[in-house]
Amino acid sequence: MSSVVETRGLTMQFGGVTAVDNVDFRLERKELRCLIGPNGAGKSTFFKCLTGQLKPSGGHVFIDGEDTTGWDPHWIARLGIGVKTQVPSVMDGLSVRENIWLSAYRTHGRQKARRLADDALERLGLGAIAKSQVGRLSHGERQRVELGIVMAGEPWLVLLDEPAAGMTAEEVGRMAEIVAELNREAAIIIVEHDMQFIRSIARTVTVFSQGRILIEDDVDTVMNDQAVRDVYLGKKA
Amino acid sequence: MGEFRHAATVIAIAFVAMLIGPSLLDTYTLTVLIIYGLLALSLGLIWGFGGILCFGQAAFFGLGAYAYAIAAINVGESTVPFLLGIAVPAAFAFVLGAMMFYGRLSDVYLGVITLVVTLILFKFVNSTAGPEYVIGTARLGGFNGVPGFQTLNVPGYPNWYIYDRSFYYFCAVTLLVVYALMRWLIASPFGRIAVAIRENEQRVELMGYDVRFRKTVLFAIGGAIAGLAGTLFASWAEIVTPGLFSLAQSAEVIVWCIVGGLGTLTGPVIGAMILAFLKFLLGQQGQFDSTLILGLILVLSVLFLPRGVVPSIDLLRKRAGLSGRRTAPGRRRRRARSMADV
Repeated sequence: MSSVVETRGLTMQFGGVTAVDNVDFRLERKELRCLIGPNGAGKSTFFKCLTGQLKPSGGHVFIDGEDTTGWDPHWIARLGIGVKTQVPSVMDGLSVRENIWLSAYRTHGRQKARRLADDALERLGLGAIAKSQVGRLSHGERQRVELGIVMAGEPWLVLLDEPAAGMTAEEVGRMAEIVAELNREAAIIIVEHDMQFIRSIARTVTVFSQGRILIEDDVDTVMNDQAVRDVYLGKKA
Repeated sequence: MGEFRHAATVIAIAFVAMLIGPSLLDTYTLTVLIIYGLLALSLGLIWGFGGILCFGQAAFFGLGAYAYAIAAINVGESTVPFLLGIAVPAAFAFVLGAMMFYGRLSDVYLGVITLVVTLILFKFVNSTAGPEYVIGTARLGGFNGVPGFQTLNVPGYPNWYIYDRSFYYFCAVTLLVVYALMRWLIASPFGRIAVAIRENEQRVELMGYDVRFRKTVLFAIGGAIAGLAGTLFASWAEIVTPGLFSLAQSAEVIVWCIVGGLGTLTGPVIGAMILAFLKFLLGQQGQFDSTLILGLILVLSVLFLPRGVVPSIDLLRKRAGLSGRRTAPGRRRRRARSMADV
């Protein structure tokens, strides 16, 4: 099969609440897909089922043809997947460089790690603060450090949970460039709220609502869809 | 490399202190201070760098001492018992750690379990007074402990005892070697990943590292060092008693680390030596209750030096350096060094 990510009947229940309800989803190689939807639609839960942070209560997840349902996060990550979580998840007590180096070291060993880390630092414009402790950086810088962690692992599948959250317009523009660059090598799934950001990068968009896929189509079609406007955009306007 | 120079400086100072020490204080007291320093170092490693707060470091300390004593009675020569005194607690820590980390216990439960394990060991060893509790030719002895075992000797020569001043030097050099090894460990990828786990476990997992296994290994290394301290303690005291497993002992190690400074290796060692020495001094007078005063010191140090003695001194030194010569490149480099690396 050519799809790199596939879910069949994926379901996640928390007690009586069904956060993800019987979702069938496919992502092709080097595709870029945005997941959108109102708060509580199940995007992040779906995302966490893919990364292994949550064990689904039903259904299956296939990554690169392999049934990864119920795997531990580190095994899933080892398939070559870069994950960026919703809140910047970085190591505050370590330097920017160490943060990124650790990721490259895991995937490529000591010899290549140094070069990969330098490369990621340069591409993200973090060179000047490479030695700073991450805990002292601004939110936007920390977001970039986390992207660096993702990038340095040279993943073929990237999962980004709200990469543009809390960033300035300028930073969002830069983020879009970085995502486009990552997309040259990797398939990407992005969970996002920022409509402007989505318009600037997305081709296909999947809309979640109440744990299900409401619609999955071209970005312009989705934006003009009345049902989507009702559940999501209408609320924001 | 600043990192290497810093470690070398610490070792050089410690080496000089080791030589001067005996002219200030009797070696018998100095030796036990060093052993406590080693015990504190073991907790300082797993807590300060791995983020694992173990309430039962005394369990590994006691296990090391008992493993050594029992093996020494059976073997009669100290080399194998010495190694067992390290290996037994290390293996025990590995199994206990695996159970806790693979079971995904949260930090609070980790504390509870390590505490309870210490209590169980204490209760168990305390109740082994009967003649049926025998390992080989060694009786466990219950609350009376195990006396009369072979103390440390030169490997292969059971009659050449390492005692008194030579034992002091042996312990001091052991501490220095362990310190150097741990510095190396922390600077190695394994150590950096351990620190990363302390900082953000989820992130490290999402990078693809097996967090549970790494924590288990680190925990076992901590157990091995505590066991080594216990082994030396057995040789120093020439008797091992259930008191080694006591909660007081476990709590004391934690206090040493807090006062000395977490996130450093020298901090816990210095904290242990200062506080253990104070306790020793206070024990010689009858006017004040020593635990009361030690408690007061803990409270004051948490209030005024929340990061501990060693990190605070380091901070002062850096500030002094900064206001003095702002542009000196060496100072800048030192300032840039992450505080976790002392």
